[in-house]
Amino acid sequence: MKNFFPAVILLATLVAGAARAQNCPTRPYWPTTEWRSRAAEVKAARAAEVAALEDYAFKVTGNEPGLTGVRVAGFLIVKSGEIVYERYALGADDDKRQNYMGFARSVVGALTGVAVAHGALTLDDSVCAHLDNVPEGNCTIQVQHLLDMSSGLDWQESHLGATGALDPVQHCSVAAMSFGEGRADMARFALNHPRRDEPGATWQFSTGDSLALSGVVGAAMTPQYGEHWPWSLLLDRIGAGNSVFTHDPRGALLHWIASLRDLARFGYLYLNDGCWDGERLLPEHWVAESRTVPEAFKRKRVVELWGTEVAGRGWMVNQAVPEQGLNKSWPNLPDDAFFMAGGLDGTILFVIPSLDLLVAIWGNNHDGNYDMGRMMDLSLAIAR
Amino acid sequence: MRRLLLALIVLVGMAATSACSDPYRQNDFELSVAIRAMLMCNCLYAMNMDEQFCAADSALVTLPLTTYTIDVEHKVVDTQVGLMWSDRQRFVSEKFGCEFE
Repeated sequence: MKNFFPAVILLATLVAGAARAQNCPTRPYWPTTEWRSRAAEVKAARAAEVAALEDYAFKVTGNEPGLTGVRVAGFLIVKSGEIVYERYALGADDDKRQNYMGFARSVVGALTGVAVAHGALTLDDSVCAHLDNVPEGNCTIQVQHLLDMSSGLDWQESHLGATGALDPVQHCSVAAMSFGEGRADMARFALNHPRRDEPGATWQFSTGDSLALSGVVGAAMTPQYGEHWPWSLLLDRIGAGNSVFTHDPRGALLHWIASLRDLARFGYLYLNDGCWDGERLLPEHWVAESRTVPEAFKRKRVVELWGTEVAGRGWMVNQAVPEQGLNKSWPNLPDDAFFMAGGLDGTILFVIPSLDLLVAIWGNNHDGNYDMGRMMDLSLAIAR
Repeated sequence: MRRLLLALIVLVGMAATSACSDPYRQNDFELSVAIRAMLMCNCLYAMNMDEQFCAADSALVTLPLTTYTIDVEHKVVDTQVGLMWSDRQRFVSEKFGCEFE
């Protein structure tokens, strides 16, 4: 017993030192089990600002025919690690989950970082180092190309319902992969497309690249860590273990389904440089790299149903790209803001490090009549 | 009978006019039943939203003739377009949600 306490002190010193060595930020608490909330206090102090947001975002409350109007099922603002605003509608609550669809590429990007941190792959690895049955000509595609969406695969990224529910979807590579002939093995389906460009030469928004990356990373990790590794090595660690990840029979992850609070936890991981409670879950510089515009994007974009947003790696960033004549997407937001968006309904997560701020919106919009800039202005007024 | 004939003409017409300029095999009806099965099943059993919400949400991105039935006991969603096209998703686990059968 006499030797017990010095040993404990030594161990504690080593643990603290290890956390410091990982250059991880410190916080008063981590929302692994619960978020702290100041929402009631903020609502009392900024009643007019809260009312302004709710007048805009929460006017529609039912399943009106056609689902028209500004429809929001959930809204969460986290400032300095504490909830300052939270509201749900349309049958949602803090426990219900949203299908984040295209957000999966951001989570798969994080899982790639986890795999790199565990030494299971490197960004320079050929896809063929991890997946078989890929045409030899596509073996020059590397993990980094998939992360950057610069594989050069000839992919048709039109989206379901993008221009109306009656649009034919058969011409859409995403539909064929997710619901048609590719659904049994999405990664290989994507990687068996012919190439349009050399890898790294051009950028195209591609769910195919994201699913191929998911397949590659899964093939690198699952044999050693089991099929639940995305939870045990990432999602459980940040308190998002109740989230769902749909997958194909080969294990490629397709849609991430999680509560708005868990989405905010994922954002909080990125707000804290890939660290959680003193532990570095993503490699150092990974988050900074995620916010970096790929060279291929600056060089040449293959524009297909893609707006004026600027891509990072798995995220979109609020930066101008003069080479492409693109301005900041959100002039009222700081340059360091980055965001993930996807799906069909205005769901979005903003991460703004300079304001220590997260804004997570579970949208349910279907008529395009939805002003995200205004929504963010109203959010900033509450979180100021 | 006239209604059935009209529906048949609409189905054939839509299949014929589908802007398919690429090699993917499935037609829009096959895709539509698959999409609605996946969205409905995960909406009900992974998102835990109610049927009204899920039905309205999934209807907007699928062909209007795509119908569904729910087997609550077995957590299965079947979808159909007429008698020709159908698909099924089953909720398999809290981690992975629904899968095609």
